[in-house]
Amino acid sequence: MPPPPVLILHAPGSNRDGDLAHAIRAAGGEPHIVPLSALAQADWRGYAMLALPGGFAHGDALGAGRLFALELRFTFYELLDHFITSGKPVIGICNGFQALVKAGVLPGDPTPSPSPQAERGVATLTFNASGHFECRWVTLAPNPANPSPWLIDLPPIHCPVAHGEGRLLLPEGRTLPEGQVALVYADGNGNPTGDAYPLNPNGSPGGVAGITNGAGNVLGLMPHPEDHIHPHQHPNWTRGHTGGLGIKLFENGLRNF
Amino acid sequence: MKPLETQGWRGFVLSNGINPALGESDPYGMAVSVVDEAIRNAVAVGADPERIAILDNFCWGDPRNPETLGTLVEAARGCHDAALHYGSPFISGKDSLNNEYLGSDGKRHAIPGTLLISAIGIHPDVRNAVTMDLKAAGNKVYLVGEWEPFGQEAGSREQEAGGQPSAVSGHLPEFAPKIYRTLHTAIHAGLVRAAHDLSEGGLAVAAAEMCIGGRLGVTLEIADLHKDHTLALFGETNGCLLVEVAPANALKFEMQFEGLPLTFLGSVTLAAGIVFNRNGMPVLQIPVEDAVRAFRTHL
Repeated sequence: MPPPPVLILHAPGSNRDGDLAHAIRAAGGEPHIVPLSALAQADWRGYAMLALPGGFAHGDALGAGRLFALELRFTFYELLDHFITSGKPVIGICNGFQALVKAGVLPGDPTPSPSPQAERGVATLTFNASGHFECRWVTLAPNPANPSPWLIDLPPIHCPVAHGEGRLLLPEGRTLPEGQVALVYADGNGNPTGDAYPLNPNGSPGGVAGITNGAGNVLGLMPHPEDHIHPHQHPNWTRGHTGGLGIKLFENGLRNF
Repeated sequence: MKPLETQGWRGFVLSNGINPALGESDPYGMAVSVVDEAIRNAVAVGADPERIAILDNFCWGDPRNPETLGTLVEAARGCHDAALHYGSPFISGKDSLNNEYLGSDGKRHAIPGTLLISAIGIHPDVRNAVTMDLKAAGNKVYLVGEWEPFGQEAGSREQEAGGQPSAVSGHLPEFAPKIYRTLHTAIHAGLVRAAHDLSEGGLAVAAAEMCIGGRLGVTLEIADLHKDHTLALFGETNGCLLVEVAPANALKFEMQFEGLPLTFLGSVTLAAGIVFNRNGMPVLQIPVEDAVRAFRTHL
């Protein structure tokens, strides 16, 4: 069977597309990095997965992910709708997650909406509680209450965060359904640590690092599992510590849908 | 560094050497020292000493001043001699002259003539790469290389702290090319847990940096290094490294260095102290956490 083709969207200012492509290739997929400017001509229906990489799309103008989100909602809503409603896997990492949240795709309605153009943003990713950019390694634990195929048999992942706006907030009185929490910040052994800084780098309530939509096919997360695909990428590998690799997450995306 | 998309495990190493304080008294000595330092840094992580190329960056004053031109010539002569000594080609370089400013005394002043040497080397297998942080208590610590601290006064950091410049500064250590090849073989045989060069600040600073990186202590015996323990601790010397070796590999490591200068200095400890002894009596001890604090905070 040929490797499943994966569409990696490149907005002006995306810069983690190369790492993401490497991770997807290592996991058995065939990555295609397509600039938004070339997307109108691309035959995107044949792709098995949609991936939105990290970076600083449009220089974070109007807020991280904001313009990328507007493009997705208004220019490329057909594409977005295709991936969300067909149940194909979609992943947004860091800036890609910010775009999915600000486009209203995540956490989204409990049931898939037929119209991504409809205004339905109920959450935001805002400035870290620490008040500054956080760039260091963290540990992620999967939420056993989330049945998403992205998370099946996923071990704790050790990988970097690099963001200034990663605190997931919902309007007063709203809480995220427990089953949509995908990944939480954890200690080195994979035990969730809730709000405790610095293990939770951004102050997301409950230590939420990543979420899925209600259907479980769209995953967004702030940390970068694509940057820990090989043991020697870990900063302490020469001391014999490598922690959990991120590759299983991408394998799940390619195999479980 | 290992590019993500290359096949196999070959990588490359970037390193550098710089020490403007040495150039104040001896631009030739500075040049040979910083070429050596750049190459030594590359070798310390596992670069093949036969496959290292170097670049020069000169930042100097106005060469129309005869004295400034003289120091530039001396530094260039040092580059020439060092490149031949190590068999490392200069593949490029850059100069920035006329780095002068008008002082409050109304006169023009030149910056200290500063030579930065950058090295790029091939690392045959990044899985064998060695870092400078100490790895485990009980491991042995060796001084590798010809121990010849500069002059009658300790090194450039002490000079900055108000001491006198060294009477004699850096020279090319005769056996360094052979020592670096031997260390390279030992690294790729898996015998080395950590390696770090002795440069600015000498032995004491190199040991402290290794402790800071590994959050471990060391106890080192310095009596045999020099009768003046200030010079033993802070004297700068080219061609030397501190190397951490697991006890099980110590004999093999020592045999590799047979006939070459190698001194056993002591061991890595769990006790969180950086301790230098003279005949078993401490002459300097610093808690590792104090060293960490000094490293992480401003002066």
